[in-house]
This record gives sequence, C-alpha cells and structure tokens, in this order.
Amino acid sequence: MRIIAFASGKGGVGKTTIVANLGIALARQGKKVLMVDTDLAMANLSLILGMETSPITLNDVLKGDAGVWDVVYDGPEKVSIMPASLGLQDTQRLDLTKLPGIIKQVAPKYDFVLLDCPAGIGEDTLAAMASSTEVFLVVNPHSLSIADALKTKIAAQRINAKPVGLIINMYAGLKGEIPERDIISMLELPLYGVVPYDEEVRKTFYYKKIQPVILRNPDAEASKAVYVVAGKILGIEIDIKKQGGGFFAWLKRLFSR
Amino acid sequence: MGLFSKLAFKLLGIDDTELPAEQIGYIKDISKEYSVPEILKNTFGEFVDSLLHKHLIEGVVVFKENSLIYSSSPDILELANKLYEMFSSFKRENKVLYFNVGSWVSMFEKDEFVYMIKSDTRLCEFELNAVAKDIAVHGKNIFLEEYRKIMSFVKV
Repeated sequence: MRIIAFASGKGGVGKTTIVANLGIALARQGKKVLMVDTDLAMANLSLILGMETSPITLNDVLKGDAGVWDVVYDGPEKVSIMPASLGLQDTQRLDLTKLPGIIKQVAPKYDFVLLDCPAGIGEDTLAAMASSTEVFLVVNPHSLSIADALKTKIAAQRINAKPVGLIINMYAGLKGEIPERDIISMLELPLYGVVPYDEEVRKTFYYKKIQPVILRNPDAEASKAVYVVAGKILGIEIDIKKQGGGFFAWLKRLFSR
Repeated sequence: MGLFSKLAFKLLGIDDTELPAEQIGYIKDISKEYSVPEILKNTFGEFVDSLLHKHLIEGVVVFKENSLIYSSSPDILELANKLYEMFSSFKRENKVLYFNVGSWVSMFEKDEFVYMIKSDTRLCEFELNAVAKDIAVHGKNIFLEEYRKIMSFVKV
C-alpha cells in the first residue's frame, strides 16, 4: 500500500488534475485507488471527478462529526474518493492532527491512496505530507513554480516526509521554459514524467459534466503522458494504445459530449 | 507589443520567450543554501547542532521525570524550569502548550520525555513531532546517557 501526497507549493500548477487523472490511470491497471482531497479550504478534486455534491466530507470527520467510512464515495472507474467540503463555513474547528490517523485507517483497503495537497506549506499541507509514505512534487517549467516546489521539498524533509519524485506539468515547449535537466538538478529528485500543456485538459472544464481528460479524451497528449507517469509509479510499461478503448469507445465519447 | 506584432507572432508561430538564466542561478543557490541537513550523531554537540539546523529552531530542552536532561543553551534554562512547572500543572495528553515569550515556546510530552522547543515562529504539531521523532530515533541513547550522568551525580 502506497500513500502518495502530491504537493507543489504554488497554486494552479495542476496538482488536482494530475491526481484525478493519475488515479484513474492506476485504477485502469487494476489497482484499488482512493483519492483524498486534503485541500480543505479550496476543494476541487470531487468537482474534477464529476461529483457535484457530497453531503458529508473529510471536513466533518476532522471536526469529529462523521466516521471515516461515511465519507468514502464511489467515483469513476471504480476509484474511491474522500472529498473535502465545498462550503465556506466548513474550515473552522478542524483538527488537522487527526488526518494521519484517518488515512492510516482507510489505507489498508487500497493499493494506492493519493492525497491532493493544498497550495502553500501551511499546516494543512504538512498534515497531508505527514500522512503519506512518499511525496511527489508537481511543477510547471518556470522559476516561480520551481522555487515554491523547492520550499515544499524542504518543508517535507523537515517533518521527515519523503519526497521521492517529480512530475513536470503543462510543458509547452517554449524557449523560455526551464529545461527538464535543470529542474531535476534544482530539485534533486527523479523525474516521473512530463505532462504537456494540452488544450484538451482545459476544455474538460467547459462541458456540462466535468470529466478528467483521461476519460473524456484518452488519446489526448496529456492523457498519454499521465499513463507514462502511472507506468513509472508501478514500475511497468503501459501500452498506451490500448488505453483509448478503440473506435466504439471513441464513438460513445463523441455522443456523450 | 502592438496588435499586428502579436498577430504576426501567432500566425508565424514565433516564440519570443527567453530562458531566465539569472532566476535559475538564484534557485540553484537557494537549493544549496537551504538543503536539509542529515541528523549527525557522532557527538552530542554535533547531534544537537544538526537538530536545530534541520528544524530551524533556536533551542531544545528535554525533561524526564521532573529532571532536566538536556538544554541546548544555558540561556534558556531559567525560562525552561518556569515553563516546565506551568506545563506540569496544565498538561493534557497529546496536547501542546504554546507560550509566547517574544519567541514561541512549545511544550509537549512524548514517550516519557517532555520537550520544550524555542523557535521564531509558532510550530505546528507536525513540526514538533518531527523534532521529537528525530530525538527519539537518533538521539535517545545520547540523551539517556546524559540522563544517567545526571542521575549518578544526584545519587553521589
């Protein structure tokens, strides 16, 4: 069982998108996956996964008002989701020190528990990283993101969490983007994959029903790159051509839009 | 950039971005300067120095069974003893007591030790637990050795 926290320091680098898509990619390889939204103030994970409402959330568990299993919901592709509250009032009275215990309680049922961390290196991010067995940093190829990721890595090491890998997201191939080798040397972590900037990802937010790009368009470049990351995490090579689902799946997707 | 230039750049696919070499250098410097040190345990002093450096704290005082086992600096001994008394009368299991005395002082009990940690900023429980864990994993024997010395001294 692996508990992976996805952190970045900087907001808007695409952590939640990576977590949602990666969770599905891992589930499609037959793994039991739980995704946890530890961004308790700005929760987005459940929305990206197409869940509009969750009556009880992780916030309620942290307040002591609900049990752990009450907030585990079924998501697409048999993944489980532990959402955080979308409400404005639900960030008060949260006992973050409970989070590691909550994760420890649910983790044995799964092969992978993916923790979507908030931006910054506040107590909420530290709580998520302290609950994990490993930390992945998600960065964009520019200095703002890399500087924040570096601080996040240091914060993780200080609390004895283990940063183990790096995912570069939204790589557009511009001359001004910091090259892979420099990012690796600055953060001193192995690279698990480069997910390209892909308009298909942005487009997924503009449909009536939001759906991760890996489901809506498995042939998108970003989807393929996420499978590469999943393969590296699993230590296998995933045949990306087989993940698209073929002509009939394409036809089904076309008419379900 | 004018509208026509923008349009031309877009149509011709011209990439006018540039690599921020200075910023890359700056981040590399930060990376070297702020790397988290390993906890060293060859000598007692080395251990404590690396502990303070790793956790960005000013001082640590450790008590066991009402005896002071270790203080990283003699300057905080008087404060430590005062706060320890207060902590002993207030303490709740698994809870941290915070004191604002110019710096922040956090006191908590963990695995038969009471820790007092002095820091610039108010540390959260995850940070405090990490200090305690590093002491337990890397320094417990060193601290216990100090404790034995103190106890044998008391007996004499």
